[in-house]
Amino acid sequence: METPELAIRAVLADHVELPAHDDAELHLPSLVVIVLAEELERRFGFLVAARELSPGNFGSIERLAAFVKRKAAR
Amino acid sequence: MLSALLGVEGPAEPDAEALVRESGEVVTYGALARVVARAAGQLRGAGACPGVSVALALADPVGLLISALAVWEAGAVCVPLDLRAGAAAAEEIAARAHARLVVRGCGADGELQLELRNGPAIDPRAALLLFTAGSSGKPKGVLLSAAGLRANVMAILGYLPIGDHPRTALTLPLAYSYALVGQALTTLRAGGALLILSELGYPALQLASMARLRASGLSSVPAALRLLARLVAEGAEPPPLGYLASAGAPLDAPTAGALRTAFPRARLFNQYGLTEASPRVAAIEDRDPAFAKGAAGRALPGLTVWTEGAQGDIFVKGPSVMLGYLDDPEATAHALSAEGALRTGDVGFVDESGALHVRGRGDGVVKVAGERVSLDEIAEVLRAAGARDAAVVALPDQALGARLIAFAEVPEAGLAALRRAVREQLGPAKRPAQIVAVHSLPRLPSGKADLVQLRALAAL
Repeated sequence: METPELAIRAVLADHVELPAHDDAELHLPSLVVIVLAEELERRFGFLVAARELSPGNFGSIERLAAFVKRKAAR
Repeated sequence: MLSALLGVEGPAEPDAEALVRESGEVVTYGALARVVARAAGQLRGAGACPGVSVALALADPVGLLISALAVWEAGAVCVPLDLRAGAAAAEEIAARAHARLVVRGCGADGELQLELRNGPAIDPRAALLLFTAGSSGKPKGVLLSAAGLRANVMAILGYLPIGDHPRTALTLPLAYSYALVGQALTTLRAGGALLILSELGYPALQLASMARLRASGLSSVPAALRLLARLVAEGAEPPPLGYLASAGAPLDAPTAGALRTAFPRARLFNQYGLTEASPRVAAIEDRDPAFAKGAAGRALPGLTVWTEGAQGDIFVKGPSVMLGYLDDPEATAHALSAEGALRTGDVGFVDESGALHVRGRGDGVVKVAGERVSLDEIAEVLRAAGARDAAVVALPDQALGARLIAFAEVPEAGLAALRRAVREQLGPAKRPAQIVAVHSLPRLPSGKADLVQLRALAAL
């Protein structure tokens, strides 16, 4: 089973330079935020609300992984 | 400040707000005119004059606007660089633009950091040089004249109610004609305030800033507008918008409906244009019956729009049509007829009421979130980065308009190099959602990649 961290890294690798650490701050262009949200919806089968596109959820790989786990648990 | 480019100054008083940063920091019209005059003097001293290309390598939108206005005041050619595609790509564009001056920084007092270079003069009639995706290969340099920009700014102000709703939210990058001409120049010409929100990556932050700064007008692309409407539907506070305008991609009925529900007091416009037309060609308001039938717009005053055949190439003629492509007589001859008619590369029809309907591109160009993307350009980057061959297909995508999947003849181990090349050389819209390593591409008898088969593979 693919962990959220690995899946997120795989998606991000096509768009931005991957940070060395999961807790490093990510500065994503708005387009990449939309693409990433779509890809997470596709891979994990949940819907991302527009208000969830925020630095609190998308600001680092660590926060993204926590977001995915929270959404998937619901 | 505007008269060198637009022939007249705007109606604004010196103490009126011209630029408002997300932090609330304000540059008034009086202060803007002073810093632009100072920067223009510095540029003139460094040799800026008609035919001299000045590249703007500035990440800060305020600095970029001050520099652009100064370049025009000096009568030179303004070349804003899109820095999101990376430093190497921006440098290549500056070189192709024959930039003799590169602006690397702009202080609050208008003092520019300038880099001087050697380069040939370019067309002295050009005021703006923008690079945009063509159907093949590298982006093409579109040469636009001051007269064309002036005509387009006035034509836009003829329908977009910026005068009544003068606080424009600027959310798109200024290296695009839509933002620089369609939003920044029109707002300044109308004496309005530009709210600089283009650095905020998240739609929720943009919407909150729009509400806080009391934005009254917004022009954007459907992918971004859809998210803002969703945010309001989810309970976010809507800004007091008096109008909303969409361009860059077809405005579908569900998105138009969501926007009307989220912003019931805003007038809603669909628009059609392209960089080669400075950029606006046609516009339509939602109370026009043709809007609901999917029309992209009616030709703006001064422009003639027609199609070849019932479902054919769209042509435009009028003062805002480009001078031509820089250093590319072949592409210019293909796009511009001897009589000055511009072949847009889009396909569509004009209905019985005279409204223009756009059905998409006729060549290998797709729109991702409103940006023109050449599939061939991406494949070329992949080939240069080590793929024996590569092909890129676009799948329909609800949020972005198109989702790009690249197929590359490369061993798995070579994928990292391709990803790096894509990140370093292409802007966010041009980066494929996925790069798939294949042993060999399916091919047609002609030897060309079989795009139909690849599209089917990509959809799996």
